[in-house]
Amino acid sequence: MPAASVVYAGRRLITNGGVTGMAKYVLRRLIGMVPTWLIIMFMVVFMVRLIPGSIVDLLLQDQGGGGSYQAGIDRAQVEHRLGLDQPVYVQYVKYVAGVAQGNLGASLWDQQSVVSLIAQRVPVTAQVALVAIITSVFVSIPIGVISAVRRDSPVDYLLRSISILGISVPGFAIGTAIVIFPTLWWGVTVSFKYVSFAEDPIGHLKLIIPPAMVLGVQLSASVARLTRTMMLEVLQEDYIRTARAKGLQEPKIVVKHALKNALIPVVTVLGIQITNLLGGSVITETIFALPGLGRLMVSSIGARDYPVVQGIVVLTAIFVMCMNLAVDVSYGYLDPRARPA
Amino acid sequence: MTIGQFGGRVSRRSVLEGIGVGALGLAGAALLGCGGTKSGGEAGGASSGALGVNQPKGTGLPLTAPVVQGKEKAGGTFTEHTTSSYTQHDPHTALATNIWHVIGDKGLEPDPQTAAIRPHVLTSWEVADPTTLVFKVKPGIKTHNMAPWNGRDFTAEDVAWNLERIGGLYAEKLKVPAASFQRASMVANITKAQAVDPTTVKVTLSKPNSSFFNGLMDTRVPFAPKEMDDIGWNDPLKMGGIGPFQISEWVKDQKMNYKKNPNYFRPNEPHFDNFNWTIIPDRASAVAAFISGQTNMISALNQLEIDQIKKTKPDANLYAWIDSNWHHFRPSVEYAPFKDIRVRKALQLAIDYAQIMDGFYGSGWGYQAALNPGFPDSWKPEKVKSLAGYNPDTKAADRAEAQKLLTAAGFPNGKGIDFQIIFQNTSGTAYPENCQRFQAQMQQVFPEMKIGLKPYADNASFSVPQAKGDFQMVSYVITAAPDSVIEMQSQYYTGGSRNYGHFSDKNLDALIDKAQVELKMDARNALMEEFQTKFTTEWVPMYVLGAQPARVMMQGNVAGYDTTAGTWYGYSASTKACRWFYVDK
Repeated sequence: MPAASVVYAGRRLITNGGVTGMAKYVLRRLIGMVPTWLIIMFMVVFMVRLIPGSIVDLLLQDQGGGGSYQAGIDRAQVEHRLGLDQPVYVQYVKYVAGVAQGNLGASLWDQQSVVSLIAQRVPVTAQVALVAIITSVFVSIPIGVISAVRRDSPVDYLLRSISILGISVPGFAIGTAIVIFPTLWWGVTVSFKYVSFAEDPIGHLKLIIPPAMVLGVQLSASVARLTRTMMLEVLQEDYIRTARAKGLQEPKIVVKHALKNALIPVVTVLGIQITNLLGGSVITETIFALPGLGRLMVSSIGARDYPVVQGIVVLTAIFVMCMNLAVDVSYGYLDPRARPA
Repeated sequence: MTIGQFGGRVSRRSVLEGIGVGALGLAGAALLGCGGTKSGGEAGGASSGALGVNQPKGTGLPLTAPVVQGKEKAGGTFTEHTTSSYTQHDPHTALATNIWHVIGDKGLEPDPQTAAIRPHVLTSWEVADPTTLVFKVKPGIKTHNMAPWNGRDFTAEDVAWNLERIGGLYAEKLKVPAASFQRASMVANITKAQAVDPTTVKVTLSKPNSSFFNGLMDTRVPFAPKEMDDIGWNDPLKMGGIGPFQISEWVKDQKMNYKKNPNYFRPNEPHFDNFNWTIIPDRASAVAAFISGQTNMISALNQLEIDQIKKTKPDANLYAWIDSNWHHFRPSVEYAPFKDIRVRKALQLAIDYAQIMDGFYGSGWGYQAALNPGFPDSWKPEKVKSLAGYNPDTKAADRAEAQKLLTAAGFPNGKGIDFQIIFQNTSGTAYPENCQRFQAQMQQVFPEMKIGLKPYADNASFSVPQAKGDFQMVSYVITAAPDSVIEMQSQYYTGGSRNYGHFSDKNLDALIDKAQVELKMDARNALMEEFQTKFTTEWVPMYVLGAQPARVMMQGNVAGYDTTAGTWYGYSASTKACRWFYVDK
């Protein structure tokens, strides 16, 4: 039997070659990630140094530095001390060698290990992302389904309008509104004092939920629209007509027969959207003062802390590549037509 | 005993005829003039009245500082916010605020309004001879009760070590670039500091320095225990000082928390049990945190924020004064037209200072020419406002004169002058708006002058062209040094560390040199007067728009803030919070 291919959104996802085929596919994709990863590392090492101003400038910018900067003597000393006097390609090779050994370097400011810095921040970002996804699923799928079932009704128009609003309003505006309006109206707002889950589970959830809602709302809007589109498509299928002809109740048809099939691309898109949450976290973590990966990224760019910026980008790239692979693989499992023979 | 170069008889322990230690050092110097060997009062709640017979002449600038009444409620936690956790922890090389501003303490303290010297860690300060200074250290000061110090005495040896380190004398030994010691100018000319006994420090200078005592009031030169170089400056949790609070928790981008130092040398201070900093990077969130009572204080407020807070938090108190921060436009004399004094003067006459400052800040700012009006020896806002160029009532005539000057310089209507202004395009700052106002004004007065604006995204990118002097004009805000001569030297001296526009004039340099070694108060004041006059008439090295307004709001149940408010508030860092307390209302 010739191997079949599953193509979604223009991408070739998986071939119908059985378990061995799947393993080979995954292996091939993993190997394919290596050059991508090396290119990303080169780009980040190179580009982060192209940002005007460097950590050396920050160290030299004030009183003593102004004069000595012009002399160019002490600047060289500082660059040498930080290892920034070497050509970029040498710094790149050293960085890759370090990463290969699991060493992402240390912060140029306080010499703290980049791995430990990132490890401290990942849980916060991951929790926000998780709650955002859960929010999104529970909000967007019912909206998409209702909107499709009540197509062109006032309810449909209302829900679609809400979806468009969610897509249109930027996250920072929603976040700021959540912070500011309760303050102006009632003198209360979200807490800005971070507590871990272990210290205070309820307090921790109170911190996590508002930013997760912001991210979740945006995610929901696009997922709801996709759900509606897919539901409309599925509801036109012959097997739905057959189910109705057999006298099945409408809710059962919608949930068991239509939704199940409509959700396949939704789930894969949701998976891909998770990576977008990392970008959104930069804004929400700043507004809600959460010590996550996004905040670390922003503060490290401002401080021109190259190893930290590089570490975050490299690990994020790995995460995104793995997520893409996971989505592609999961598609094969979700769609019976793509399952190994 | 020796004959001083100042034409007077100079004896050990009694120099400074009249007063002679710099404009801000009036009080301590006055005692020296009285021949007292125990100059200064005892630290620990000493009022300025304890300083001596001559009270400082500076009376301070307009100040809004309500006195909060109520019965003191001992203890509690005071919470402030900041936008990010500190990145540098070595106070003597750090660029900005750092942990030592809380856990450390400085030698001398300025009166927040008049900038007069008050005793602090150092209880007396004497000029034994023009190049020898003698300090007395308050006995019984204890380090924080943590390893390796465990509450040991902080002595003259520690002070000597700090003075030499601040001066950059250990740069070679520590393998740190000498220029990294950012605040060496505060103790300029130091060659040696020596502990004579546990409470006496002798400082040797290469040449006299009239700014030395004032320099020690700068918060940016706090004292640390002498073991710190061995411990290292990387881990805040390992740092212990002598300040009112000691570190208790430190989590980057989350919190910087301190607890009360029960052995602090100022009696009955601090009042709070804990002094916490929450990291809130977003400005709107910081305002919300204050309104919702999560923080006790918020500063750098604009009028809109003040109005919002007053509506929702009517019991919060507003404190306002003319600040030590000043906003300016600095031309680079590397750009040919700005080499010509007529061009520089024309622009100075053409600027409508009030329109720019009112436009961004509203009320509360102060006119400033060469020196911040907070200096006792500087021109006050009323005087500056009456001068040509600054005076809003003569603006039309001044602008007509400006046009004549430019025509005489060969640039009729500004034709042939084409420059860019660089600035930081960061939200909430005055730079973008004020640059646009300046641009619009100049193009109104000189229709053929071309002015471009070049914004930079952040401080790191902006600092490159500014430090290199790679600009035709720069817009920036400077925080005044605690002494007018240090200020002059860094801003205008040839090669001065902040002389970004590369202004150079041998007469100005000579005047600064003279002022630095001038230990007679009257003579020094005369030099400062000459400097300020020539700044506006002969040199015009930059256009100072004015001294910014400072606006702080505190929750209504916090008292004591009025004792720390004023132009020189920023130089009281560690000691200001220890004077605040909660009241039952």
